[in-house]
Amino acid sequence: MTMASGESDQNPIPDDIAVEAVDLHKHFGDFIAVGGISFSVPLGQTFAILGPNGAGKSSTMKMVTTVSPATSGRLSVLGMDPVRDGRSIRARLGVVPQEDILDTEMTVRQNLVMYSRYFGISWSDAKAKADALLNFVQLTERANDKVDPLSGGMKRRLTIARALVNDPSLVLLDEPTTGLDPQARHLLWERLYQLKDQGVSLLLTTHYMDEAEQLADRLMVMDKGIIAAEGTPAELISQHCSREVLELRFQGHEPAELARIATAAQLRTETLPDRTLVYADDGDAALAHLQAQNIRPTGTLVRRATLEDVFLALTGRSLDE
Amino acid sequence: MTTTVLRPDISRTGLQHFFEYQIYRFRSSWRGLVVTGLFSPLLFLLVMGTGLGGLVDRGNHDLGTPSYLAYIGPGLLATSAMQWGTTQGLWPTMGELKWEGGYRAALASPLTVDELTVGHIGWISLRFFAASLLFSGVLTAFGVPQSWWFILAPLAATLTCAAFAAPTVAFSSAQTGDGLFPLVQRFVVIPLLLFSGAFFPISNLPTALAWIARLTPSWHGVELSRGLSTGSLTLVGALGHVAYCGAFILVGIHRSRAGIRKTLAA
Ligand SMILES: Nc1ncnc2c1ncn2[C@@H]1O[C@H](COP(=O)(O)OP(=O)(O)OP(=O)(O)O)[C@@H](O)[C@H]1O
Ligand SMILES: [Mg+2]
Repeated sequence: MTMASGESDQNPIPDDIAVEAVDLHKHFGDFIAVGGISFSVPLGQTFAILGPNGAGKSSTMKMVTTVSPATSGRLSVLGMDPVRDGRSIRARLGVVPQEDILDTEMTVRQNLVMYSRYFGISWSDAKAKADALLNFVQLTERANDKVDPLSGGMKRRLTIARALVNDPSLVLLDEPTTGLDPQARHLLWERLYQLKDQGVSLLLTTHYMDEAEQLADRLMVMDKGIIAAEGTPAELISQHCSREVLELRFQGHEPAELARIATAAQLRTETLPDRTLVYADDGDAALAHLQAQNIRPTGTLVRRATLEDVFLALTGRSLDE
Repeated sequence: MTTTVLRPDISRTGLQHFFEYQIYRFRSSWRGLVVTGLFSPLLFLLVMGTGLGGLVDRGNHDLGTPSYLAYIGPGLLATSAMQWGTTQGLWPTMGELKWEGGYRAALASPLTVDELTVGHIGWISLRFFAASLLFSGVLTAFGVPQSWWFILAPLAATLTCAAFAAPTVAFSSAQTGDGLFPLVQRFVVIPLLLFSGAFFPISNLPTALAWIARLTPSWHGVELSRGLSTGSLTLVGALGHVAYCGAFILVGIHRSRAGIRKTLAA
């Protein structure tokens, strides 16, 4: 695949970059769904977009899939221009949209075979690929069933298999595991690792911080159409959070003097409806300090800080609000 | 997973794969076509052609055909084209774009919006062409055609079908739901059928209405099919009808493309 010549004006896109976005905007009328984001996904890496409902994750993904033109800004996908080279880009892309769109008039296997044909793949290759992919997503036993009776997790796996028929260089996954039970999620994660091992670049969105932590080399936290933070999972936690979080539960309200004591000890706190979070590098020490000052919680928990805490620290809201 | 590396060859992809996909799926949905394209015009032909035709033919008429059956036969070919074109342009368009979203999935492949648009309208027309061959055969068996030109009637009817499908797809792709569709059927399609000249000559209508009728693609479609059946069509007349229907197709495709692109981008 050749480099897009149109990109050569000032800043040529290096050819080891899968996706490069500079000041990307998507507006719907007056509404700003994506308000100027810049990020780049190196080839072979996994990049996650973490954000709550309405953050602009899907709007961003749709621009990368080339179907939705950016309102302004610069976007390059696999070194090409999505508006001009949409067809060539899509030939090398795997797309897993937020909603499974499968052909309910066909069987599981036919869904894969017929979709392969859109990519100019021969019948015999398409059939061999379909069988390999069904095996990959563990749907071989359901190959000749119709799509409708499949469980949500199976449909999701079939959608992912369909996104792989063309051996894509870049796979876009919009909330690949939302609505799946933990077992199904882990199976998917494991498959995504395998893809990564094969050198496939992944761009995924998620609501789940553990998913981003597990899969992503880098991630950005998006909120209301803009980037709230960007980095590796470890970087984000160390920049925006303490190493550990102490969770305190109280009978009724949190004691009035807690905030004062915490501030004096240089501990940041966050009051949630059902509990209070205390950010500390050593959770146990912080708890001992508070108890020495006569704070008596009914329940305590010391845990590692997560991206959820980063998000809370950045926006004052929790991810699933 | 096996590590066979496939080389997608997009120089070989496009419209033909869209049709291939649809033909493959058609195996489970061809019955609807047989009902709309063959049985229902056949029913009309039997009831109106023989029942009503018996009455009409007893009086003096200047229909320009030996019998009412010969008059209404090619007319029904054209009206079934309109009905198939509009019905398929309404609900299935919404289905592919919004409800089931098949075209959304297709657009994640190298297929383009242009190919989807032309393919969608072309597939509606292609299926009708198959039905029109059958119905034309039935008409011939009934002794309806008086001219060898009738051999072109399935093509003429397919053109009529596309002239209705293209603007209907444009309309449907710009809608957010199917709320208006029954109204379109009742207040646009049915009047167009009635005033198309399929059942009676529009010269029997009040002058003003007759002129309005001449502006509809339905009248042009009916004139074209009937002219081929009676052999009375002039070259200029034929070209005029074809051009009129062609204009509806081109404008319809243009607007459909915009509607489909916009819907799939959202
Ligand atoms: N076609 C559209 N027209 C108008 N507004 C839209 C359109 N598509 C998205 N939006 C709005 O843009 C904002 C961002 O939507 P988007 O789907 O990108 O969010 P998201 O981060 O994917 O959310 P979720 O986690 O719920 O999937 C939302 O407020 C949404 O209502
Ligand atoms: Mg979304």
